[in-house]
Parts: sequence; C-alpha cells; structure tokens
Amino acid sequence: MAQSSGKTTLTGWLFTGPALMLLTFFMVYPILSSLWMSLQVGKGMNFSFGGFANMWRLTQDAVFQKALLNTLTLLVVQVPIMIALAMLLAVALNDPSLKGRALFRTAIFLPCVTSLVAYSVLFKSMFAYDGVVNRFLEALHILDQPIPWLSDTFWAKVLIILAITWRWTGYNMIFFLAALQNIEPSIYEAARIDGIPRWAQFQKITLPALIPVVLFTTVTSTIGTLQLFDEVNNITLGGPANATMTLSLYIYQLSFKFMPSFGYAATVSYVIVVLVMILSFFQFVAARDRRRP
Amino acid sequence: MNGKTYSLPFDSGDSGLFYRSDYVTQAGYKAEDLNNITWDKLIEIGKAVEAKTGHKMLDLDLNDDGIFRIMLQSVGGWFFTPDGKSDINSPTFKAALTEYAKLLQSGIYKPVSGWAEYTGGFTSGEIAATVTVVWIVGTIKSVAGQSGKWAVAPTPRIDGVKGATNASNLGGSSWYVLSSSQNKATAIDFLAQVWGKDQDFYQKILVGQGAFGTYLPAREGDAFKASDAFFGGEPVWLNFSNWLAQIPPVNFGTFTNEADAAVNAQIAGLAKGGSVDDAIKAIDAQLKQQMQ
Repeated sequence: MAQSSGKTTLTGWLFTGPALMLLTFFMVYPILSSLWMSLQVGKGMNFSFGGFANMWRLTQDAVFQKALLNTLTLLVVQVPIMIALAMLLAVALNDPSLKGRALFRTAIFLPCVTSLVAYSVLFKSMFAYDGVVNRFLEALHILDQPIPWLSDTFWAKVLIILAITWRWTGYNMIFFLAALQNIEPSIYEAARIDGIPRWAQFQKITLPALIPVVLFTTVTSTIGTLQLFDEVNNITLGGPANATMTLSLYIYQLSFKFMPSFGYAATVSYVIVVLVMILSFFQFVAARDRRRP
Repeated sequence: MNGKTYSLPFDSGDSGLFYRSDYVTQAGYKAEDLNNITWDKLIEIGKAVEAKTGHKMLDLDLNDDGIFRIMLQSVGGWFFTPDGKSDINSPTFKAALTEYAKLLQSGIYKPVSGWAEYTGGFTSGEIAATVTVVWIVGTIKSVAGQSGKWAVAPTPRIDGVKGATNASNLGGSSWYVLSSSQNKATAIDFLAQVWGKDQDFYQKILVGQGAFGTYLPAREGDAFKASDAFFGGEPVWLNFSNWLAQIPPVNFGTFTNEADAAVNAQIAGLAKGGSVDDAIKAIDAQLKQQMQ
C-alpha cells in the first residue's frame, strides 16, 4: 500500500512537473528577480545595490505622487460608475419582454473585442479640439466653445474615464447577465404573487444575488485600472501637465523613454502590486461582512 | 574608439518660421515685416492675422516643449551645463521660459494634441504659420494646392537678451557604427564614401526627402542653391544653410527627455497664467529627481 501511494505521488509530480517548471521560470523567477531589481540603483545597465534608496526616492518624486493620485482618482471615480452602469444594463437587457435583446447585448459587448490602441486612436481623433464630438455638441447648441478635451487637465481626465468606461462596461455586463440567469425565476414569481413592488424585488432579490459578481468585477476592474497604460499612452501621453500620468505609463517612461532607471521602475511596479493586494483584501472583507446576516 | 564614442552627424534640426504668405499679406504685412523679427512681433502679427483672416497664427501641442527648446537654444541656453549638470536656474533659461509663457498666454494659437493634429493644422490651411525644423518642408509641400502660398523666415528671436539670435535648432541625428558588428568595415566604408563624400547624394536626399544634411561642402551643390516655387521662389535651402552657421552651439547631454518631461509638466499651468518662477522651481526639482 505504502509503495503504491508513493508511486501515485511520483506520478502526480511527473504530471504537474512540466507545468510547475514553466511556472517557476516564467512567474516565480521574474517576480523574485524584479524584487531584487527594485533594490538596485543606477542608470542603464550600471547597477549597484541601493537598499531602500528607491523607496526613499518615491517619497521625493512629485511625478510619482502625481501618477499615484491620478490612478487612484480614476479608480475611485470610474470603477463605481462602470459597475453601476454594467449592472443597470444587465438588468434592463435581462427583461424577457424586451425586443432585440441579443442585438443590444452584442452592441454593448462589442467594444471589448476592439484593440486597445485602435480605439484609443479613434477616441483621440473624435475628441480633438475640432473633432466630431465638439462639432456635434456645437451643432446641437449644447456648447458655445469647443471643449479642450486633450489639452485641459480636467477634461483630459474626463476623456480617459469616458474611454475606459466605453471599452469595459460591456465586458462587466456579461458577468452580471450570467449571474441574473442563475436566479431562480420562481422566486420572482412568488414575490409578484405577494405583491412586492419591482424596486423592492430588485433590492431584496436581485441585488443580494449579484453581490459576488459585484465583488469580482470590482476586483478585476480595480486591477485593470491600476495597470492602465494603452489609453493614456495613445490618447494623452500622460499630459497635459501629467494630468493623466498613470503608474504604468510612468514605469514605461522610466524604463524606456528616459535614461533607463530599471531599478526604480521595478520599485514603482511593486507599488502597484502592494496596492492591488491591499485593495483586493479590503474588497473581500467588505463583501464577507455584507453576506453575514 | 580608444574608449570614446564617435559619430557622423548627418541631419540637422535647423529651425525657421514657416508661414502662409497669402494670409499674412491679407493682414497687411509684407515679407520684410517677418524677416528677423522678435517673438513679441510674431504675437502682434498673429493677432492681426486672426482679426483679418480668422486664421490662428500657430498650432501648439501643450504636451510638447519643442518651441521652448527652439527659444532656449536661440539665446545660447540649454537645460544643462557643458559638463552635464542641470542648468535650470540660469538667466537664459528664465528669459526663454518667460518668453514662452508670454506666447502660451497670447491666444494666437490653437491647442492641439499629437503630431497628426499639429501637422493637420497647417496642411489643411487652417493655421497660418509654424516655427519648427527644416524637414517640415516635406510635410508642407505634400499639399500641392498650397504651392506659392508659403514663405520661410528666420526663427523669431527673444527681445532684450544678450546673445539672442534669429537661428536655432531642434533635434538632429547621427550615424554610429557598433564595434561588435560583423560588417564593421563595410559600414564604415559606406559612411565614408556616401555620407562623407558624395555631393550628389546630399542633393538627391534634399530634393527627394527634404533631408537637410550637415555635410558643409554639400551646400555648394545645385539643389542647395535652387529656389523653390512652392515658397514663392525663395532659395529656401540656402537660407537655412546660412542660418545653420549662426545657431548657438549647446551640449545636448543625455537627459534631454527628462528635461522635456519636466518642462511639459508646466506648460498647461503657464498657459493659464502660472508664475514663471514657480515653474522654474518645479522643473528644477523634477529634473534633479529624474537625473539621479
């Protein structure tokens, strides 16, 4: 028996071995290596051990702090808007009496299959100073003066929020639709027979059933926003005046645009790792407390 | 070579003021009125052009400090001292940034974002002028219908600064040969024979590509002396090669991208009327931070 169990274990290791090896080479090694790199200082390939010098540099670096603040601002404003919108659309499109549901669902999901760069370039031209959006709003007499979407610090942020909301709302909506279809229709029927109004039905039946999806979409969107790069690099290049500089774009500039500070760039990327860990932890704790009666 | 890096410069970033002579004439100015002017005069002309023709004088990308670099070098200033240290607190830097802030607050430009929108501004006929590098000629001449409507004048200078010139530079490029290359000898021979000797080659890339070589004897060639009907029959290239000699030399340094980023971060603030001294402090702090 003991021999056979040992054999089973060996077989098991042999099966998982190749996958584990790949994981070690391509995941564990780079993670440890970048952690080591984040302790190095110097330009280009001239590294020397700097200990906590890079972390001290974070506290002195106004651009980093601006990028951190921008990223958190985008996160706090954009993620709730997008999740609420995704949920609303999912509930609306889940109504069986709605005609052309499949068409609407496809239309709202479609942005997710477009390339990030392609849609960013399109947004940039649409929101140019005399682009179609400003022309349209002027034609409708909503605006007297074109909005400087790309050259004003406030409007540039608004534009980035608009862009990522357009790109990702449909993606999140799909998760809500899947969850809605898992709710037993007989519960709604019972509620209807008891004379519960629609709004109360949503509050007491639909919403609690969607909490796990809210958690999931919030966590993935949070991580996605913390890594935001394509849109800001293609639409605004982080400008004007670093108003849309994000942590990921700053890491890119530190590594490839400026005289490379790979060590410091690795430190900034660990800031993202720590942020993702902290925010995900809080979101899980919040969700767990909610589910307790 | 002996532990040092050598390169063969081939392309110049000689700058000039390119403008639509038809718009400027409508506003009541002649070509002489734009010859060797100051930036203040350009702003004055810009206001007149907009009042008379409805066209903005320039289009500026508020995330690109190109014009500032042209201003800075035209007074012999730069971001760095010759030994590569940050030189943001110099009087020339302040003079250039003050003039730049004046331009940003003048309202004679359309704010644009990115290269495509910038070049689209003047190729579409909407914008009356641009101050940039000689190779923009290629872009300007891509619109055949605007032939004869363009003219080139020397780069505006900054008024009241000692050593201010009507010539400047933005960028440029060089050839390098890697000593580890398998075809090192062939590469060196090619550079020596073509880029280091071939007169005709420089004439050809000038006419065909608008590439303005740095090889001085090439200026004797026919193409450099030729006048261009597109620019009202002016000997555009000869003008540029004459301005080339007046450009104050600067030590470019290795941290220009960092310096650009530091200046770019202040442009929007300056355009809204921010203080030049505060901007200098912020640029200085950011640049020192990035150079460590």
